[in-house]
Amino acid sequence: MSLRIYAIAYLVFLYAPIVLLPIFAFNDATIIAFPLAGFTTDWFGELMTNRSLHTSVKNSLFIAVMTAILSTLLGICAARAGAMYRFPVKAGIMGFIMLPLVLPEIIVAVSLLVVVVQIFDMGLSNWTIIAAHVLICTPFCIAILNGAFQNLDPSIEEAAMDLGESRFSALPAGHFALGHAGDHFQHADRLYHQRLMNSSSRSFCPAPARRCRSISGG
Amino acid sequence: MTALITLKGVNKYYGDYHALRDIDLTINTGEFFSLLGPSGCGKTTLLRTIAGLEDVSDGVVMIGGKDMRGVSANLRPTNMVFQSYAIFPHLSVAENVAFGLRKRADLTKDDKARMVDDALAMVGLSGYGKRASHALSGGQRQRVALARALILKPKVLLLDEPLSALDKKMREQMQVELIRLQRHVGITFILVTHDQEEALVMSDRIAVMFEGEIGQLADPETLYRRPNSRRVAEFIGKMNFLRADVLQVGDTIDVDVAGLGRVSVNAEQAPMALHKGAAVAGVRPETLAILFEGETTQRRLIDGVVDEVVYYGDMTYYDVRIAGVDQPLNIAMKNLIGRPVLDVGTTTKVVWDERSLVILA
Repeated sequence: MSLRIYAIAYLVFLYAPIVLLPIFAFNDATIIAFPLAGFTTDWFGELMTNRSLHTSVKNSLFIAVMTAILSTLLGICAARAGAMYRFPVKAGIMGFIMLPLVLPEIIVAVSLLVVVVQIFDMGLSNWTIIAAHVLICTPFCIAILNGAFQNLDPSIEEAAMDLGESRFSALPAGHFALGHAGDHFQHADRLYHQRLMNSSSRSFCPAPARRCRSISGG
Repeated sequence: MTALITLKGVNKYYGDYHALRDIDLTINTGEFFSLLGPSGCGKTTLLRTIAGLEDVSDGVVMIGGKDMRGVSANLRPTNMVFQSYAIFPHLSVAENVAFGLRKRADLTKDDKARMVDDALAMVGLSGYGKRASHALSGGQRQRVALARALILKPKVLLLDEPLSALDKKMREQMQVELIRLQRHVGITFILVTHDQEEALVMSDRIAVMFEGEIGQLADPETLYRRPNSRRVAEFIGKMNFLRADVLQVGDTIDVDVAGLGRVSVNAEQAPMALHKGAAVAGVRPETLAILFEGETTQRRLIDGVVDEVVYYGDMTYYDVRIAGVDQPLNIAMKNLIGRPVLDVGTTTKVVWDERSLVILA
């Protein structure tokens, strides 16, 4: 019974802010705060015309998609190597790749800013944001795929080779099998995207900073 | 009998580990050949070098007279049934079976469908084509893996411990089916197994492997009756070992066997070279017998005391102590009508025959 109360309370705390958002969408005030000031639909008109908002949405989408593609590609390679092959100083290398997972994001962010601006003397752009996101997201991807690759029967790929596929054309057979490896993987996949969204929407320093700039500049 | 597979001086190293040591082996067309040995003896590695899934470090693998060096697995005339079966989970049964036909442009869709039906019928899975492969039982997966390999009509079918995941009843049934299938298709089968009984039941010839080497290569009967070393004798079936002293080696061999006394055996009972001096005499439990009350024999008898009784239903295994031997003799007796199961401590007579002895250095 107490568990049920906990579960309900958990859902209320989690979703109450989301329920509030649509209410404030019709509130006739520029600040999100109670008491409600009056009813208006002006914000929806604003949404259509505010070009800086459009630009930032476009930027966010671009960054998210590119980050997802790049970190998944890198993650597949690293997780496959980590789970299925032996090589020198494997533990050290894998640990190093996973490091951003345990470092506070603000530290990673500040050090990246120093590296990009002062050492490489590059300007900040969407691509530097993408690079930073990939750094953070790849370890998540590896952690999840690692489990899936460990569950994957190495004979699957060998069977494909034995039945006439070459070493490289046999890979998709293995990876298709991986994708269908069951609930475990699908669950992990969902978890990964959730964390990805969290990490890009929350507290990751260079991204919001850059996004603000692109809004004001756009 | 023509040689289909020839291995010459095959060696395989994993770093410092010497997995295969100077393997020379010839496997004939149409043969059911088994590689038998304890885990880690190199039998699976040897099978994989034939399949092309593993490169040899040194030596030559020839299949059908062609040197297979540099020929990858997909281009070899071999197909494999994996220990885990390696059924593609995202494909249906029929798609799994048809997997190897995907690149065959000379076949129409109808040809392929007919071949898949035939292959499934051959392994007793007619009508299972549309099923999802993850919904199959262990025995059915095994059959799908077989059909998937056999549909390509390979010269050699390689089976890597294919029955080890099945329960005992299923395993015995599949053993018989595999023998029948092999006779039907006439393809050379190479089976890897650690189960000596399975190897004896199924094979035309067996290579027993230890630590990367072939210990003995022979037909099942020779292997069982005339093992050429103590470790082969120990690995295959049960064997009692008695201390022995070789007195004279010639056309016949005179040996003094602990507990049994002085005997003369013929040369084929000594499969390895013997010298005068210390040796061991091996004797199988079923070639010894207990003389029950009312039974008579022309054979030799020795007094003993029952030390342990293990009842199996059809058989009873007795451990019987005899004078002059530290280890009791293990004796297998059929539980025939009228034969009691003896109690521990019963004094009894053990029937033996020098023709069942094998003398090993």
